[in-house]
Amino acid sequence: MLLKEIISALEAKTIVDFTTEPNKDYHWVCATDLMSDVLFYSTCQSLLLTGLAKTQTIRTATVADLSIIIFTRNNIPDDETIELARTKGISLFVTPFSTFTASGKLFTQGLQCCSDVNFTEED
Amino acid sequence: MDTLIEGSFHIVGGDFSNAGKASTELKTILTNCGLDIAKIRRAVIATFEGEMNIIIYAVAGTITYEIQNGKLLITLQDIGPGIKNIELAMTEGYSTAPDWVREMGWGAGMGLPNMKKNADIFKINSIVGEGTTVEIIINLY
Ligand SMILES: Nc1ncnc2c1ncn2[C@@H]1O[C@H](COP(=O)(O)OP(=O)(O)OP(=O)(O)O)[C@@H](O)[C@H]1O
Ligand SMILES: [Mg+2]
Repeated sequence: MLLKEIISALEAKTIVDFTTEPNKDYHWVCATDLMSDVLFYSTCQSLLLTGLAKTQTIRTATVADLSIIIFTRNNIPDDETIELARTKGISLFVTPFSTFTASGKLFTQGLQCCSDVNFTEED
Repeated sequence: MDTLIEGSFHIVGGDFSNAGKASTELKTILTNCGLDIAKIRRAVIATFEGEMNIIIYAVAGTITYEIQNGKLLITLQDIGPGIKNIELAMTEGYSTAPDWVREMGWGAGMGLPNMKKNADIFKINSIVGEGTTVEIIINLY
């Protein structure tokens, strides 16, 4: 799915957008509020869908090389968190839907869970 | 990489507002050293998990890193309660994190297993009532 299709399916609003490839196709989503799950299961190509709108979410995305975070249920991060995302070049969006509903919408469009990827960063 | 690159970060227990700061700074340092991106990702993911464990469970700790002879060595040492049963702590999903830690996004019980998964060599030592030391080595070539 293209980012603009994802944004429209989730009725999401843009907080900060650093994406530069409008035709990039996204396949994988990491949907969780637990950051260790993100660090364990995510691949660097996945979108992060989470209700946790904190500075640690940005730092987790930074170390896991995730460049797009979509916050669910209108969890808009505070200014410090948005500022940190700006310095790290991470794009932030917010959807009114819950993580469950947002995941369902993306799933029916063919996006898949990041931990289902049989993907190793090496070899 | 012949020249020695090294440094350290001090971590304060309970300091959630700086959670992940050391690990993201390490990422910048390793990126500036020109290391392979996939190796950097493994190193900083493991470091972040260790940093969070110090913040969540320990009183204070130090993270040191050094690159020498084609290896990146990261040592996370803390003063804290220590771990009574290391084998249990290493089990995926095992966590003693209280609810408020879960509300902060931690406590999946995946931290130590993930540190091991991302390291080429992983060592953990702990003395109850004194503290815990974790060593991670990543081969750079
Ligand atoms: N530095 C430490 N000092 C004392 N106890 C620790 C330390 N690190 C881990 N532990 C103990 O080991 C358990 C498992 O740690 P692990 O990092 O795997 O999971 P977690 O911290 O509970 O959750 P997660 O890392 O997924 O957020 C912890 O719940 C805690 O009881
Ligand atoms: Mg942990």
